[in-house]
Amino acid sequence: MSWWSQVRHVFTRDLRRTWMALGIYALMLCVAVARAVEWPPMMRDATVAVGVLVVLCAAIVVAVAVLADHPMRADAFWAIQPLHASAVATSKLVYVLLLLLLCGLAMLVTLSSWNLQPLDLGRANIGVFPVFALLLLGVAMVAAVCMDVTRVGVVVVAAIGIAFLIDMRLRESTAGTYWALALLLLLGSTVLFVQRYRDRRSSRMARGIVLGTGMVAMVFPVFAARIGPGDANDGSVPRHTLDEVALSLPVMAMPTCENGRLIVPLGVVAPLGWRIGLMKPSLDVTLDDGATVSLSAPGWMQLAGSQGPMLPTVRDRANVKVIGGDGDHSAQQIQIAFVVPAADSARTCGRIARLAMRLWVTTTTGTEVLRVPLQGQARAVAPGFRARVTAATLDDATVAITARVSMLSNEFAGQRHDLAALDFALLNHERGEMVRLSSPRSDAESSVSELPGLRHMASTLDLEPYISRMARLSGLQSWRDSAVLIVTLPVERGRGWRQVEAVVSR
Amino acid sequence: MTDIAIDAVSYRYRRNAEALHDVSFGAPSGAILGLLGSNGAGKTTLLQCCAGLRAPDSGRVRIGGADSGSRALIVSGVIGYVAEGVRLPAERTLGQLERWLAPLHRRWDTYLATSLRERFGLDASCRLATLSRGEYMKASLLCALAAQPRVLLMDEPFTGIDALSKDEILRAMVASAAANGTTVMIASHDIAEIESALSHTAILTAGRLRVAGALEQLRERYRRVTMVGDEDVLAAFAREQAWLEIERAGRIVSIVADGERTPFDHGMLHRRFDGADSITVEDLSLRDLFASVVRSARTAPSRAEAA
Repeated sequence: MSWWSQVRHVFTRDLRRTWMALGIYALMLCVAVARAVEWPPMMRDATVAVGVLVVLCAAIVVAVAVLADHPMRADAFWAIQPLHASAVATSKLVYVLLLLLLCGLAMLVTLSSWNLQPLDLGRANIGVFPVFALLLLGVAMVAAVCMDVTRVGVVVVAAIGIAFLIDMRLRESTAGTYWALALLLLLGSTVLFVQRYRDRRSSRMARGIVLGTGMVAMVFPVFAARIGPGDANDGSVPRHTLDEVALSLPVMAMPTCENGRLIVPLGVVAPLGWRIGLMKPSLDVTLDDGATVSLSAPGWMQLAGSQGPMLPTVRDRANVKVIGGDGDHSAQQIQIAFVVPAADSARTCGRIARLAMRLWVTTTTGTEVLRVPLQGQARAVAPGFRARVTAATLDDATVAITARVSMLSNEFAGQRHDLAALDFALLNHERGEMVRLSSPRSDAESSVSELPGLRHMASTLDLEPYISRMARLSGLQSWRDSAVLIVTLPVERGRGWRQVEAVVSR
Repeated sequence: MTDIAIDAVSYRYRRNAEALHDVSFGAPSGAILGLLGSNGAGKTTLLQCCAGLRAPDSGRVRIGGADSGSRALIVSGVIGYVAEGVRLPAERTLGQLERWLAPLHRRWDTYLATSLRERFGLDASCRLATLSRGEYMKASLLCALAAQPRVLLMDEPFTGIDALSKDEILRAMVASAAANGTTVMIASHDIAEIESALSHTAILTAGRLRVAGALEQLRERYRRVTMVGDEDVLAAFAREQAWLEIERAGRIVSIVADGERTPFDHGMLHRRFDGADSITVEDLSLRDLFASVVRSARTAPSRAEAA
């Protein structure tokens, strides 16, 4: 029997042997898909952590398949049959591949429900499969070292515990994935796994290496997702140049000294709907005698330049009047407190002639991703986004909309966002008017990972108009037939260092 | 032609004592060799070295002239291995297992498998998990014999099996060996049961080979000699005759004599120890020989100290 025939022979036997476990795994995937696509509708309210069950089920199936033909046990039946060790090991890897393919199929169906293009599907799968493959290979390696399913369970639980601790510790860190490291680990794990079958008598150190690599492979998905190189905030490589014209940062008044701090009132004037982030402010103060003192603000700060939900850049109409808003621009005043060293305090305060402030500025604007008609429980799907209006009340001056919104994670948006970052507006296309909407309650938001590595968020939101205190809405009754709900995703418009200079006159 | 050639094989488990030390012996083609030894003697380790499931630290095992390292001979189907602890896929039926094994083994004999199954009274549709211990071992042997290996290695195949089943397994093994010229090496504690089937034997104690060879030759070499006589005659007898084991009770001394070192022809003994009242020479059963060898090995250090 040829080597390939042996691989097929062992693999088909494993299929027959574990058909029931495989069936349960496939069923879990079906439930996960049903939950992700929210069909039937009752599935969305199911509280079962299907994603966890899918992973656990896959891990158990892999462990059972490896333990059935254990590489090290003296009583392994395969070892006394005319089977190449590498063929047996390969058949187990093919088995892992089958689980991955089943998961990939489920993922394909799930992603199709978000109207994704083949390219997006490819991008998502590239992201997911090495990680899930690593997880399963990690379980296979642990099973190849441990002698029974109980020990495998103990090690897997330990790995999950470690992953949880890492996840907790690195929760605030920048996200991303070391793909090169993931692939290297995948390759190394595969080689070690096959070697385990070939070298049935091995040292304690070799077993330790295999066990350790297996655990790292299991922990890696969490580890990688937390510490990888994601969006760097160091400002070394600006994505886009900062829009110099639309944003204005004037120094609004004389700086004042207070308890060893120099407080500079800074105005932030930007078009309505822009979101401004100001970070890492530093200040060079020129005194009236020509001396210069450099100051910095403690830590870093991120400020909202514009209040309220972000306005979408409406794609099919250049000028849309925002009703209930504050006009075309929003202005906000902030105060930045710089620490003045005690030695410089006496000579700095009251003798400032000139200020030169440096800030790292990011600007974000809203990009329309989806529009849903208000009538008849309509739903709309855009790549990575899905929304459905479940209830809409439009009286003369009242707007109350309930919408079910779900979105995929950052793989598709290009940036890291969550559901809370989405903004909403109601557009009356015929009248060229728009009302910004806000969601006063965000407690309904949920982040769900139904399939390994594929995270999506879903929430039912109650939306109401966001209007300034002085503004009043009227005549909204007629909007019912022509209005659409616009879902807006914040997209970074530009980033860069901004110099603010001011001459202090007395 | 020598089918099994074990040459200066040593094996040490991690942190444990030496399991095998410089073990060398052989078995010709078609031989049925009994590998005997008390618990922990190294029988299983030696069989696993022969099968290529363990690599010896030093020395080598050649089966049919080829090195048995790294399961090479198992993969090529030369070696069949039956062991008490090997786990058959419990969720399969015997029929399914046979169908799965058939394409793997080049010389698989479906007719032989069927006839062995009938002979053993096994049901092809019965799940292996439901088989009794004896039936389980019969199924293992069926799988090994139907593959018609050149060398069959069996490790404790009779543990916990009733006498009738032992007899059936032994008969099947002997018949198959005779029909196919299979060389069999069998490690067992059931010496009395297997003795009639054996052509060769090797006895291990504490990882060292004590005795090995054709059974007939060993029976010629080792005999029990019992002498009744006065103290000085018995002392001379014990001093001059090479023995494996000695027992003394009053005017009687009984030894397991090693005829290779000092011949024990009955007439010659009478001439040499003419003061003895009586001298009897008896054949040893394999069980007695084994017991004597093991006891001799255990007392050897104290004898050395006394000397």
